Amino acid sequence: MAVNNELFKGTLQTIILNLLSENERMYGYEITQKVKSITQGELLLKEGALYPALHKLEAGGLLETTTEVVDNRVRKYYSLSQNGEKEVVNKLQEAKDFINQLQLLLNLKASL
Amino acid sequence: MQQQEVVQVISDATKYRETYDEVYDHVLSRLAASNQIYTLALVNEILLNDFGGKTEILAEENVYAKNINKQYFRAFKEEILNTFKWPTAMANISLILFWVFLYYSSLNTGFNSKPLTAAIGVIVILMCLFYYLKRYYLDRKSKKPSIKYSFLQASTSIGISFYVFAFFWFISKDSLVDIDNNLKTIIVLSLFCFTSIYLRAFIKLYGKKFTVLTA
Repeated sequence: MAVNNELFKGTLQTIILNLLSENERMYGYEITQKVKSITQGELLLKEGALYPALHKLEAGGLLETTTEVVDNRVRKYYSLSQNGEKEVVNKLQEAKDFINQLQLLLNLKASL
Repeated sequence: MQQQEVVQVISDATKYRETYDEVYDHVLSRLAASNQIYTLALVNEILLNDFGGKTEILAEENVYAKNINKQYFRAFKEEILNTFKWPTAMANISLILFWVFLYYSSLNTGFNSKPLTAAIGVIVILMCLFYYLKRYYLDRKSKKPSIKYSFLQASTSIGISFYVFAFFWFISKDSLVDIDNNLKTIIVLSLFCFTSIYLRAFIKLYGKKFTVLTA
């Protein structure tokens, strides 16, 4: 069963930052494919949401960009900035805390 | 031929080089991974499904440009404030000492503000020329302007606007506001200090962050 994309909208930035902390640098299309392969196609990251999120993180100083010519076209790679490296730790902790709380809430509801 | 078509479609849908490159790379990556036969309709479909179409791309571009500009101005402000931090503050302290020395020595002898006024004018004009040189000569082969040019234009225009304002209102012989020579000296010396800080902050920002943001 495919995951409802609405559910992970709030964690999109965390997902991007975490992927970039595991992979030195990535480009937009690569990120969508990585998410698809990790979740075995259950979670589809729409480009309409990905690029604005990447640009927001970039403008916020959490990501840095470099360009490279690949197959005669310019490819823009994103990587974590120094601030981004610090932020990924906070964001992951926030996400973990949220998941724990959610589990607690849902378990409680289920047991009622 | 096919590539030309894709270039045309994406060129029509984007305003800045950075967005164009990103969308173009994405569409070609998608086409390469797709099992479908190439058609122009397929390109339009990718643009619509992945980016929400031309209107969405342009809207997102505007948001992106605004955010990048904000980030640049924030970084510029930081660089200006950094000139007051140790050890770079040494340059500012020297400037202030120079200011005080020139001011007090001019009290008896009078102050010839022309060389300093000319030097400030040259600096702000060169900064403006730098923008035009980069935008219209060095980058002349680019089909689309870079997103960072609006910041570059705005930041280099601040200096010249301020200079023109100060010159015609206070410094020139026929200035709009009639002020005594003592106050004129203070204005010219202060303007020189501000120009120095502004120029050093701009050079630092350009060297450090301009190539990192929106590469």
